[in-house]
Amino acid sequence: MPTVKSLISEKLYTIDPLASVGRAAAIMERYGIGSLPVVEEGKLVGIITSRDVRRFHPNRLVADAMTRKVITISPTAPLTEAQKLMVKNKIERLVVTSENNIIGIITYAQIMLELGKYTDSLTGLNKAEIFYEKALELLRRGQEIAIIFLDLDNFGGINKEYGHIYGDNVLRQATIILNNLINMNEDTLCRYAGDEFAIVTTRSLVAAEKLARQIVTAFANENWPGKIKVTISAGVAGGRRSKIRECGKDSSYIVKNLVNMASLASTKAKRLKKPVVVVEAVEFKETACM
Amino acid sequence: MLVGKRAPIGPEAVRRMVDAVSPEQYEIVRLNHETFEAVVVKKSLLRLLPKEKLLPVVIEESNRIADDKMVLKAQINITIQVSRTVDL
Repeated sequence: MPTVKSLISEKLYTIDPLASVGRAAAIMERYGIGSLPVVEEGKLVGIITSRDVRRFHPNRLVADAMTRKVITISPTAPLTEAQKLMVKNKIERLVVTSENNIIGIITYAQIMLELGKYTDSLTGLNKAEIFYEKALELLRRGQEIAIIFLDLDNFGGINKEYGHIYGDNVLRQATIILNNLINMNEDTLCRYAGDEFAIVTTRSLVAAEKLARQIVTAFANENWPGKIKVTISAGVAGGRRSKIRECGKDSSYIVKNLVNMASLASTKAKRLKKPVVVVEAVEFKETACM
Repeated sequence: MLVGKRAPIGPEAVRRMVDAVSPEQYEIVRLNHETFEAVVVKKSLLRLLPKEKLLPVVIEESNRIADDKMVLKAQINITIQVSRTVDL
């Protein structure tokens, strides 16, 4: 999952509060940017945007046109956090600061464009990257997590018999069922791949198994278009880790391990014709990254 | 001096201007008003009348003739009548 840092452009333009609004407008137009942090003696004192520039007389001081309350964010913050901050404060830009130094600006449009890469266009669900990020975040906090891996049964057969458009509708309907059953406060759902979905949850392993059984039952009882029967198999794996070393890209290996176990459990469930197979909770020991 | 919301000069510019000419003699009061952004008022006036009393009158009268693109200079004449009883 990318952080704010990945969206910051290399060149940062700032302006002095005693410069004119006209000067700010000229800089924005020249460099094709929509806002300028206002800096006085190295300190961030405000932000002036293209909207301010349109609203105020060009002879005004920037100090008389800028917004004084500037919302900032750390470069290491996840993009989802930046997006939430913008929505909460009803703003379109965030100034990125690190130890009181301004290092850039990010816009809402940039964030949404980037986050769009992590959203599945068919179902509107998160893609696996967000799921991994969430799982890792929970483990970092020392929380016990469980992974529910869900795999539609004979989805290839449905596609072949009824066509891919029909298959897409099944996936959309499956998403609605799943969204109705999960609790956003403790579960994060993603479309893992093709006909596979995954949920990372802070529920106990027992509660996660219960949710998996509810999902399997809901699929069996659903009124699917064309009166066909659509079923799903689930595998559940639980794990706990009190401390994870900061080891960059490979730090998600624990989550991958859990997903793998849950995935194999769902395959086993399919093979044994059992609705849900549960892998016992795994306690991960401190391990160096590969 | 009343500074319109879209006036060519804003309160910060006015503050710096009056501070350059008469340091520490003026106070800037920022407003939440439909037409005016701020009032720059001589501190000595505020010794005669508190701003809670003075500003509503000034703003009300100025609002009749000004728009938000103006910087309006208002002159306030305060007449004080003193009546005393003395022993003869």
